[in-house]
Amino acid sequence: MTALAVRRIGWSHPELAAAAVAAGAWALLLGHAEHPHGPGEQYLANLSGWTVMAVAMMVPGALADVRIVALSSMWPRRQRTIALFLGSYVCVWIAFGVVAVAVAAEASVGVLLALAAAWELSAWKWRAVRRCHLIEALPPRGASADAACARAGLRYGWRCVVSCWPLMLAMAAAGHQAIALMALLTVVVAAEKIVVRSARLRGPAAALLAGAALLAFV
Amino acid sequence: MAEPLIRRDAWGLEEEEGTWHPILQAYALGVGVMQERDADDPLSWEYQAEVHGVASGRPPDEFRNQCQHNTWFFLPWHRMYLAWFERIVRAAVREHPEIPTDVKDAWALPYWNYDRGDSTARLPTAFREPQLSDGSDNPLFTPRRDPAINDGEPLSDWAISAQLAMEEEDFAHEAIPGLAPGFGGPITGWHHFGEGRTPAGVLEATPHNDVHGEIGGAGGLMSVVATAPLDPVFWLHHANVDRLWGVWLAQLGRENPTDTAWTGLAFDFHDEQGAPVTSTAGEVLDTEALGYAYDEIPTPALLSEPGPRRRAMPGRPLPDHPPELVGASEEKVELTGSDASVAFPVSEPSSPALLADEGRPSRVYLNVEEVEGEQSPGASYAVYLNLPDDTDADTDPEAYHVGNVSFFGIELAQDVDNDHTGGRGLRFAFDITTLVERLTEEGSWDPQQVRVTFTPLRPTEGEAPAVRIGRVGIYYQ
Repeated sequence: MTALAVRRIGWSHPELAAAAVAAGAWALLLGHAEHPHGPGEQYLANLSGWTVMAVAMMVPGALADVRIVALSSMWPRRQRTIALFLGSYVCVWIAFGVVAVAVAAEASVGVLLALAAAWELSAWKWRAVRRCHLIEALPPRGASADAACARAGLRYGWRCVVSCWPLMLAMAAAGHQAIALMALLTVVVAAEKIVVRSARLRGPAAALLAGAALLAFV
Repeated sequence: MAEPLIRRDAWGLEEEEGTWHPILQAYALGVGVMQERDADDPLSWEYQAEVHGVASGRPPDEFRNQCQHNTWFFLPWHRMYLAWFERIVRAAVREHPEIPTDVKDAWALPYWNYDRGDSTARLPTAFREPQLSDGSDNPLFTPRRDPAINDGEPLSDWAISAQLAMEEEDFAHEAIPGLAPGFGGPITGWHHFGEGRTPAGVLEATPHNDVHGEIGGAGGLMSVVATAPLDPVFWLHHANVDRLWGVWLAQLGRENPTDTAWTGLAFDFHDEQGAPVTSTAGEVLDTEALGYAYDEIPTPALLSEPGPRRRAMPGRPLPDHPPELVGASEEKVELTGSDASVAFPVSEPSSPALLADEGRPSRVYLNVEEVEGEQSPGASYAVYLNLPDDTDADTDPEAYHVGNVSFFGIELAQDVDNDHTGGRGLRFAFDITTLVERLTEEGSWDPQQVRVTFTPLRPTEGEAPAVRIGRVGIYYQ
């Protein structure tokens, strides 16, 4: 593939840089998994691990929306738009993590996964998933574009938290070393955001999470 | 293969034998039979409407809430829908004791060619009469239309013209911000309504969406996705849209997609026995194989005689890089039944592909994004680019007209209770290449002051439901 062909892919897919950041987060976590923290590890270390985990788990499902937001922006602002949007989005998850890491540290992963399975079957969950996609058009340039983009990222993050909070509480309890569970939940979160008519997944997703809850109990 | 049955123009039928031509009378009686069936019966009127869309909160299934809009499946899905519906009505017609045998044998769904000239833009009389010829209630009449339409006022000229659609050379384009959608709609997967922030195809936008809004008005059956098929004229309107697909194909160089993603996706329906069936686009491309043909597929002379409304650039291939936003409005625009306009500057393009071509775009698009409202106000708004302020008698508004903004489905655009929300509001994308090139040649294209004007196609009585436009933008490609 020629250099021009690679550049052309980038023109059509400005979200690839964000995908690379998510891949980097996964690489960090996989490397880190070989050196698990002990139970007495500092809260801040857990929170930094949570932040990397939030990027690894939440950015993949947002890539399709990020692409649309970027392609709807002025060309010189495309990467700035992505950084502002995803930065705000991840900030919401960090804020959630500040509480979740403290609250869920001693909680049962199995109970939280069972709660996540039940949440999959609620109407609130799916309204929040659908609201994620209601991203408003951004002003074209200047500070108003920056502010609107950051607001859109925060709103996107809040709706994502409403959609996924029990899943991520379970991850807060399991810790960022639980790579297999993290991979499973990432697939669930991304599929719910990306698949057309994703509410059809409510049954399979609930069954999957209930199965994971059972495994956590044994 | 048996001879296909002929779908005939409703106004042609009326001109031939008056309001109650036997084909229209048989349609009324067949609809009446379906309306009496239980709503859970797949052969009932209500069930067939729910195949298109269910009201918010009603549980959909693989048969109901399936209509395809803002997608390249719009035309084939509605062809399937009409073909199975026609068989259900025909079965009811053939069992009806009051219908003569020769009518039963020849019955096919009529179409309404509102753009044939003279008085054909008026709703055919059989749909406006509250009673049948024997004094009984007319199943083809409903008061839930714009009162002016039921009073016999014609639809707006720009709502019924398929000229912009006929000028479009490609059936479908990629679903990507900025890009105009093509004749049949943007390339998507299964797409009930708003799964991907996509605009309607050019034919779906005008006349399809515009005619829905003009007939339904504010709150009428035809203005809402879930209720539109409850109006018996829905089916004649869609038969005309189906016919226009054939008119487009009859032009030199026009082709349907051959991609298996389009030809192979299966959709679920019921046949006239109530048995489940599936159809694909690949199976419905030949209407005669489906058992019907139209009485007239005129070949338009658009390619040889470009009119003032030609907007797309004929023969110029679509660039293989994405469009670039070069300017957009900062503030929202509210439409409340009167003219509104917005102005904004356009920058020089910055993308490598356009810079390599010295900044000259091969295509220019006008996008109207995030069109929201609680309910459709009915009639569409004409969209003009740089319409002169003065009221000079020599000014021809048509020369600045880029298309219409319509509101069919606006109630679904933010409905988070149904599984089809994919973006905020409705979106429109117009190819304005030749208009911008003409304005540039005339010296009236000022990048610092691009102005877009919205003008209602029909006057509204009283206060029209407000509609907001989130952003108006110009894209270069």
